[in-house]
Amino acid sequence: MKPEDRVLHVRGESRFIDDLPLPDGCLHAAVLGSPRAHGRIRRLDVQRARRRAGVVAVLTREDIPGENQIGPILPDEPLLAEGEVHHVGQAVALVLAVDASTAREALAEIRLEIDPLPALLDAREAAAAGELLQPARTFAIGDVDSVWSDCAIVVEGRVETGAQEHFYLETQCATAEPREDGTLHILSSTQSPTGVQRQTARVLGLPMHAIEVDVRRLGGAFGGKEDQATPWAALCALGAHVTGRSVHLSLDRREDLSFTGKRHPYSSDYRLGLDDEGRMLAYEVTFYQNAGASADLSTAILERSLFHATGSYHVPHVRATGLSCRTHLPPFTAFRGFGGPQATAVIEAAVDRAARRLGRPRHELQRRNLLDEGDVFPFGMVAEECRARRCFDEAVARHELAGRWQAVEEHNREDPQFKKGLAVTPICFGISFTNTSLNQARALVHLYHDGSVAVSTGAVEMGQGVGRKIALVAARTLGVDEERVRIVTTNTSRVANTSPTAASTGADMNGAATRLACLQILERLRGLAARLLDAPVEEIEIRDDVVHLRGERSELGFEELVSRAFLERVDLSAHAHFATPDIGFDRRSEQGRPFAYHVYGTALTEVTLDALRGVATVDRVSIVHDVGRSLDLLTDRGQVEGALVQGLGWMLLEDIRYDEDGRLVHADPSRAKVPDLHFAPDAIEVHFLEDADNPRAVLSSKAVGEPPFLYGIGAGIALLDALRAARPDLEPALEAPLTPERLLQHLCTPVTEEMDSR
Amino acid sequence: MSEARTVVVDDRVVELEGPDEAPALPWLRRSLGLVGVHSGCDEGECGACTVLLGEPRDGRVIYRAVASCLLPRGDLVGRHVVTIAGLNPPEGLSPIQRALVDEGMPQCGFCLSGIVVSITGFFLDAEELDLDRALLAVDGNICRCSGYASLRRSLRRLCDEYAPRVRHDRPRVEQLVEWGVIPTATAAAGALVVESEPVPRPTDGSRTLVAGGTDLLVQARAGVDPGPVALLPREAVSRRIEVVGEHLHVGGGVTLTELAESEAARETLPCLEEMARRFGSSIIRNRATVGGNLVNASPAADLTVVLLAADAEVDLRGPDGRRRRIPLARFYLDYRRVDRREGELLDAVRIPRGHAIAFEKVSQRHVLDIASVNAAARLRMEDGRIADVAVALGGVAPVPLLASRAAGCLRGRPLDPTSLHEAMAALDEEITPIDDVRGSARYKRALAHRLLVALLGRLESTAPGLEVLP
Repeated sequence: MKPEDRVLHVRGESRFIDDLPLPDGCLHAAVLGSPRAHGRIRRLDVQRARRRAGVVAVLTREDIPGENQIGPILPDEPLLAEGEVHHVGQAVALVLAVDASTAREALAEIRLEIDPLPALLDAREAAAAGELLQPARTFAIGDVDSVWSDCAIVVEGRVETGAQEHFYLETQCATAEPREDGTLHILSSTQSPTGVQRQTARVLGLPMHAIEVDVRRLGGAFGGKEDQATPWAALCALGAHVTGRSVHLSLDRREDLSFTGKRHPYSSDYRLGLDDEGRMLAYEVTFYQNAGASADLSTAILERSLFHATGSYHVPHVRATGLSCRTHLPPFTAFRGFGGPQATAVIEAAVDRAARRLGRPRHELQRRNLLDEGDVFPFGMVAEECRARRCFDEAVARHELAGRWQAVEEHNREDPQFKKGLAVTPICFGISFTNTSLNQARALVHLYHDGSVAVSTGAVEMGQGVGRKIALVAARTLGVDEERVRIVTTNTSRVANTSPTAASTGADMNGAATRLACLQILERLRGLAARLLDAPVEEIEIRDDVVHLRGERSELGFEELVSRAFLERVDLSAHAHFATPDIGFDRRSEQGRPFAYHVYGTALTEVTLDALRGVATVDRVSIVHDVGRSLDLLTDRGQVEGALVQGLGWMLLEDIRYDEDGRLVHADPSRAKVPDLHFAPDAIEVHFLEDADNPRAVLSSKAVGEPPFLYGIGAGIALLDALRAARPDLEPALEAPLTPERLLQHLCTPVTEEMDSR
Repeated sequence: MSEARTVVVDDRVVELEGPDEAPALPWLRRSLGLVGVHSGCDEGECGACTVLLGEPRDGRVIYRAVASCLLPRGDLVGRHVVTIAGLNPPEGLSPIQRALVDEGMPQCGFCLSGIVVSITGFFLDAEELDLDRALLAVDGNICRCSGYASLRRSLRRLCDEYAPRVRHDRPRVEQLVEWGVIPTATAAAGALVVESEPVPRPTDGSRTLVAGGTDLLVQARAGVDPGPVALLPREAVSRRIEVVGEHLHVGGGVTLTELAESEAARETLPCLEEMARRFGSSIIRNRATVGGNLVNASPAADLTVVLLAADAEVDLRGPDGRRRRIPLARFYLDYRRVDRREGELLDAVRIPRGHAIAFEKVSQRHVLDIASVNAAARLRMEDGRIADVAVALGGVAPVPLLASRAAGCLRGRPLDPTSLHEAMAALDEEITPIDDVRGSARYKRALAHRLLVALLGRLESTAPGLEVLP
């Protein structure tokens, strides 16, 4: 009845925005980005560019009819630079021309003169200069200061984790088409159609109902199109509004790399105290988040870091402080994990150091301190249905930690050059937007009178399989074959006020709303079936496309029932609203229950370091993961494997650096190294925890998108093991990514003849 | 197909548009509407735009998977281009597509058409359908979603099923049609190019000649203006690999894939296969030529360091047909500058046979990356002493460097910590690495030492190892 997305993909027949035919007379846009990280615009002259053949218009902030502002949380992000520029690549002017190359060539004709101002690039320097997006936030439980003296040992250190480029294969793009009466239809590669709609309306001074945003699918996003798809769509809309013609903008890879934000780099200080039994007593951590030039989603990301400060462990006395530091780099933004990985990496590094100090196996210390049912997080939430220990124990048993640990030790004793490391990494990740108001979703379900079903929700398909999951929910709820169900585009006119598809909540919330809508239709159909079969409604069930009476198949098929329902003037459409229950957080007391539930899991990660060449490989990752009762195992497996490898890339490979002028060092695609087939471990074993129903999500499933990213941390910790095996005199800090250059720096420490340690 | 500038695309014959040196990708997408060929990076780094290029040779069509973003249009003339659209069965899925779907590979979908094409290329040109070759065939296809586990599962499944069914007594294309891997119409269209004659092109000495285009077109994107360019005439340089006495002659037009697959070449340079695995990716190696790699003069070129260590010579042919033979080490004058006179073409490389040569490379990413430092060495021991040695390094000087002073410290001496230390000290004197995106100068110096140790360790099992490092 309908081809699946997967089938369209392998046939090259799924269409992304840039694959679609452009509207007649469509203009192409190119963006002039600031060449400087910080400065005052002295002169911006676009006359020559305007006169160039093929150029239709060149727009600057003066052409914006509404508010020149697209900041989603704080109003600190102009669409086109005004007075000053705050990062390299900040949009200054927009050229509209008959084709893309003419538009790009005309950029060179714009005269932009900037008086440079000093640029802050480092989070700690920004904090010292008082450049904070908001006052520091602190989550605390117990009384950290009073217990240090009770600790048998106290370890401290610093952890650095770097930026990470999303490298979604489909670059940022949008098409805006003017419709009658000044309204606009926008195709955008965005995770947040409502975000695009809202900010575009703001920029154009139009009501939201004048802007329709439509999204079929994204060619990858990973958070990079949650907020940062908005400017490109808004620029297209501005161009269309001003010229009255359609406008298309598709960043090329170089532009995308240098204009858009990445995962936040963090620099963190920790202090961890334990008793002589290895029980954690006190943990203090300060996160310096490099937020970039504007707030974007940074404050929300920092908040999630604070929520994940203690990882999978219970610590009675905690003080976690977070600072969002404003610098002159492109605004860092959402990326799978949203601040959770940065925080989890710190406590895992702290546990590693503590285990060394105590001279005990790290996994023993980890296990001793795992969260248990009823434990209280530093923000007041109580761990319920806690599966930290179950996952840990099952991973250790199933994947044979003891034997492998021994094999690694033996290997390291015998091989002078190749050193192995083996880390156990428990994860714990909270599900829900930490901004409680975003935890709502809606679905609109139409049952057509031929028995086919169209479902609209706020969920955006970007490869995570949310469409497939929602279709399964609809089919299971209605008791029909999945083939009947089509997930139609995400469209702001059909489903309004949507939350971004983010925070791993897409299937949970939109699936739940879909289920509620389908239940409404189902009740109407059962009522009619009861009348037709002259039976009480309680005895009617629809299953396998057939009405069942008292558990037995009746003569009444689904299609016939639907067709009768239409003739009987039964409403075959339903709209439903879902709001995640029992959550809330009070930012004054920093206490509450921000998450619907947590996802747990544990990975065993084995790495090999070549101590001669200073290169490392991840040999094997064995996981036990809690995915609840999986809606679709193949989809969930793909999410776990894909997130893991992204996490490994973040830990070992993906080196994103800026030069002293705030320019991306790796602005060409050949330098933005993301995992390739060879980098990804040969052996990835994923076992889903059994008997793991989750009463807090639709059909007992669990969110899966982000949590497995945290498994990547295991490779960093295992590599510290391997480094120490090669150089027992060293106590290397976790400084990700642990690229070959960093590894060799460690291996060469402190022999200055060969190389200085930094 | 006698007319100039016609191309067979999938199952139709079309007229080529645009300049010869412009990349094929926008033409395929915009003019022919083949939008299933995706544009992910435009620099050969992601594989989303992979197509098959079928070239008539010896009475049949050889298909190779290539990055269409780096494929000059002029090179399509008289050839068969197969895109994802030409691989779709009229209904349903090919076995390759089916395996990918069943193993859960598709996520966002953007990379998949390229992956299907690369796997089809493997089915077309791998002698045996073994997993190792299959993995090599997709090494240039980046997928940001899947973590590649499902891709490995798909390939394993395909190899398990089809490897036993390969018949060497039948044309592969015929078998693939039978298995449903390639639709009949697309396979039949291949026949249209079989009999075509190469189109002669004039050689214009004032222009930069493009062979594979895999580096030149990337440089152009990076804003390095190569000046006026022209495609290298197809038959202008040799594409043969042959043993001539004590030497192996490799034509300048031989691709890296052809070189790595050649028995004779592998016998002469046993490290060749390993080097090739670290050289770009299969979709690049299928286009990149030996001559292009040498003339392009990248200071970190992987093949070049191997040939330097092998004591290779280059044969240059002037416009008047005059030939000149010089040692490769003398070919490099300065950064990206070679001893090539106007109009001269690099016709062939002459490689002495019978040497033991090893290759080493460290890059940020193990494959699909340019070296931080690469190196190759030649070694022969006699009575416990080094009788013959050469060491070449890339990434540590403006040109690929033959480290003659380091070699001088080793020659005639035992291979022990003392000689090695002296060689390392000499190496330090003759290399001049700089800080750049591939690493700090200090890092590269440390790597140079370590790769020297690694190379000698590979060539002589008694060589000192890690312990000689400070």
